[in-house]
Amino acid sequence: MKKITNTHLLITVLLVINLLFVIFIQKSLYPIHLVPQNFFISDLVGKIIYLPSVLIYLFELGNLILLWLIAKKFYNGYFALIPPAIYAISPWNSYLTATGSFYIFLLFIILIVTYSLLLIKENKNLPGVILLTVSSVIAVYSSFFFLVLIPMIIGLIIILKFIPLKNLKVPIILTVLLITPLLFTIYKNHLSFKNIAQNQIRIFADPGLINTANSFQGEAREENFGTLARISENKYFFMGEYLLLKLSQQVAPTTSFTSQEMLLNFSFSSPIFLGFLIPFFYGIYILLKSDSARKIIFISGLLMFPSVLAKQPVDLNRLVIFMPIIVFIISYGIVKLIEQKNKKMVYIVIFSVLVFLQVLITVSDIKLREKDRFIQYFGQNYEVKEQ
Amino acid sequence: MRFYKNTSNPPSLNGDEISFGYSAYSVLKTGRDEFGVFLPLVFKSVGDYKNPVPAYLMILPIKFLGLTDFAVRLPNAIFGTIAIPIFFFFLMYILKNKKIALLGSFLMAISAWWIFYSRYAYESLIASIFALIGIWFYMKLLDDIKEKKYLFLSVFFLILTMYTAFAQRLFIPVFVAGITVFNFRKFKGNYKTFIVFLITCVLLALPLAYVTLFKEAGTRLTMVLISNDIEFSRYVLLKNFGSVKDLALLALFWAKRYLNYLDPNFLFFNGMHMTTLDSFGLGLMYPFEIPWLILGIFSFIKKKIPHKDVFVIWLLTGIIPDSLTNNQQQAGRLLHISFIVILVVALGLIEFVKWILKIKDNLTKILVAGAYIVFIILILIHAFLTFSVHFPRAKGESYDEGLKQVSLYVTQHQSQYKEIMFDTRHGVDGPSMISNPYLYLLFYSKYDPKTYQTETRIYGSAANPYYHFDKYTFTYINWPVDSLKPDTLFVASPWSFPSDLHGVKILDTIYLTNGHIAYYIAVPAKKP
Repeated sequence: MKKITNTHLLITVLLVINLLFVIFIQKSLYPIHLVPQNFFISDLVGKIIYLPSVLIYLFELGNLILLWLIAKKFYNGYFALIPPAIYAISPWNSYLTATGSFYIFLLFIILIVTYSLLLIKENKNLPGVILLTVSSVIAVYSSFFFLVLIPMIIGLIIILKFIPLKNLKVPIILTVLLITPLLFTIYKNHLSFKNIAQNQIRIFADPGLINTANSFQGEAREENFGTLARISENKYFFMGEYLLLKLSQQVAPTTSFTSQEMLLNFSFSSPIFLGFLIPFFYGIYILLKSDSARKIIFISGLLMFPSVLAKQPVDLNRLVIFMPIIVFIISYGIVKLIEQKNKKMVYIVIFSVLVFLQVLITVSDIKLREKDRFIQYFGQNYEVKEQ
Repeated sequence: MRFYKNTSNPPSLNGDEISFGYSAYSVLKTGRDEFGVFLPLVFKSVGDYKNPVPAYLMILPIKFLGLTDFAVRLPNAIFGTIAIPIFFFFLMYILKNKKIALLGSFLMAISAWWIFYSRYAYESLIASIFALIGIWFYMKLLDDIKEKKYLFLSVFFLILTMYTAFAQRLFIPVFVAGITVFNFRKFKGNYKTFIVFLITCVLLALPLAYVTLFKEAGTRLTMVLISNDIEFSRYVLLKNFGSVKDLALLALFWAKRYLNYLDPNFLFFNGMHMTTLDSFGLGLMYPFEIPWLILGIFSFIKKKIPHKDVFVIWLLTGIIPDSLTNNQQQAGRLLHISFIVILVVALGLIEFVKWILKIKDNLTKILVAGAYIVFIILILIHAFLTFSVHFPRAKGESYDEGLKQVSLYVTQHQSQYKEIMFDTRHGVDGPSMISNPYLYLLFYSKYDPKTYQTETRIYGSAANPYYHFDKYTFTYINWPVDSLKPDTLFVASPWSFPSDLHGVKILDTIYLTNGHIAYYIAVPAKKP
């Protein structure tokens, strides 16, 4: 009992730390905010429903608790606190919460979906089914992307035999029934649906790609290599290359551990502190040797697609729904390092010191320069738009 | 691929090549550089204090082939070619596996990274081969600690690397420091050998350290440091770097720069900067090598590879020099780590082939293999078109294309004029690029080095760029004023002339490969 009480105390401490960090960021950046995003169903019918900031703060705290609950399924004791601890101090989610990102809410939904699948896997069918149905329905009604992603994720879970179909029949049927009104609404408002799709899928919005193909083919024709250029420098080839490039950029270390992609298009804070790169590399190396871990990472990779389909190379706002995967890989690496602390103590010390120092530097930098940095990029229009 | 038409693609000798070429010519003819310094340790050139080895390597080709583009580019083409068998024998020594050695040298032979830098005089290519040989001898020393010749050969080539390219002036000391820390125990019982190794390194590097730290050669170092990076000052620090308190942010900025070398766009898609921005060029590796690299990393970690720690130190320290500069990432400055990357890719290729062969269903196996081969062929076709068609068009003006033709024209017609004025500014989109046309004039006119060393030269200031010798003037042309000078020939980009060319008599127009006008050669339409 004493152990449970300590863990609850620690999770409460993490909640407070996270809340304080978010409030600190919000106060330092005020009035910088993200353009509010509408629910998918609201967009379809032409209504506007925005989530108030206080709810986003609550979902942020909910994410932390959900990470802990999910971690308890994999780790014993205090190890389960590692993922929420990383989440609590990471600028990625904290910046997005402070500026009112809709994707914090979507992250909450995805975590509930994940937790419910774990419950079903453990044969806790009633709570699992209810949670999975409710969260899947909310997800699909909330976001255009989840209309495709949720069925794909559940489909892959069945195909790769993580959970047998018979355990998921009920939530699937219930979900399909409950999203029928949405499908009907899409059918009736197909023009709105097309607009939403065009606004959300902007990966090829830049005509530069097509222009490149045309200009390359023109140049090749001048040199009598027109046929070769038509084969290997056509727009489909470049689209494929561009898709491959975007996919690889989502998982590049610079994206999550440095300010290369810039949170909110201006910040110098790295989404996740650089010191965590050491346990991340260690964790991914061990996990990729395991067949089941590879499959889980493959399924989770679908969560990168909203960012892949954005106009900019990496959209950290959309990619935050993939953040828990990175957090869990880091946590796994930390757990493995601690388990081998006799041999790996130097790595534990190095990453801990790096994280600690970067926390101090980041907090100081946020206070002193972040708002001025925003003004340097965008002037005094404090609204951060999607590109 | 390294020799074929290497004088026309890249489309021109760039400023560094011309400078090395003329310096080599000057040393060949007079034993002195163009400033009269006898057998210089560094070449002052345009104030960037170039390394000596590339210039000295050009002397023999220039002696036998004349002062030509081919003679200037020949050493790199030769080194780029012999690197392949050297790498093969290196891999054979390390891995004792002919398959991997052949694969590795084949990957190097078709590597865009290597082909590109073999086709023009880029000093880092030669330096990287010296670095490979130096590290190879170091590994041989570790395997046979009593063999003194390996010690001296290793030191010789490692230090020679530092005299060959700028990036290596930092890489070699950092690398040597790294192996000192991590390899010291391997010299147990033979610490004297290790100390001799370190002392010899320091002694041979001392002259270079002296000119870098205490002479003007250090100017280049301070100019290119990351603390002077515009992005850092303007968007991170929001002021100029100036105090110890700024070091923390500089460290994070540097860490970002360092990890940027793992950016997929740089590695696989556009790292060679051979095409215009926002278009698809070539990376250091081809996109089809992505799975090979990932599999290769696992294979490298799992396999028992001798001197693995030396490879890791080599790779990690190899990125440091370029990451500390304030320029964009330069694939050429990373050539010294290409050997490790190609080795890892070769290991991964073997795993990839094994994976395909393990596919049970024959039809699936053929489809997967066939699809991948088609993918490889498409990428290689695109690589060929990038090299032969798109690169000369996109990057001609960065290679000062047009100045050769201008210089040849001026050499042929100069007797008709009292003065020849060059405008050093050019650029298709605006007069934003600055070049040094005087170097091209010296080179293509085969200007007598002895005369150049001794004649009067007049310099302007940074605020008022001006350079004059003989009858040549290099400055910013002010057409309304300068066109009044009698018997003067003008060489400039279209930006320096009236937009409607009123009052301008064009004698010749020099075009870039992409069809844009590089330069006009002109006189005033009416003589004053």
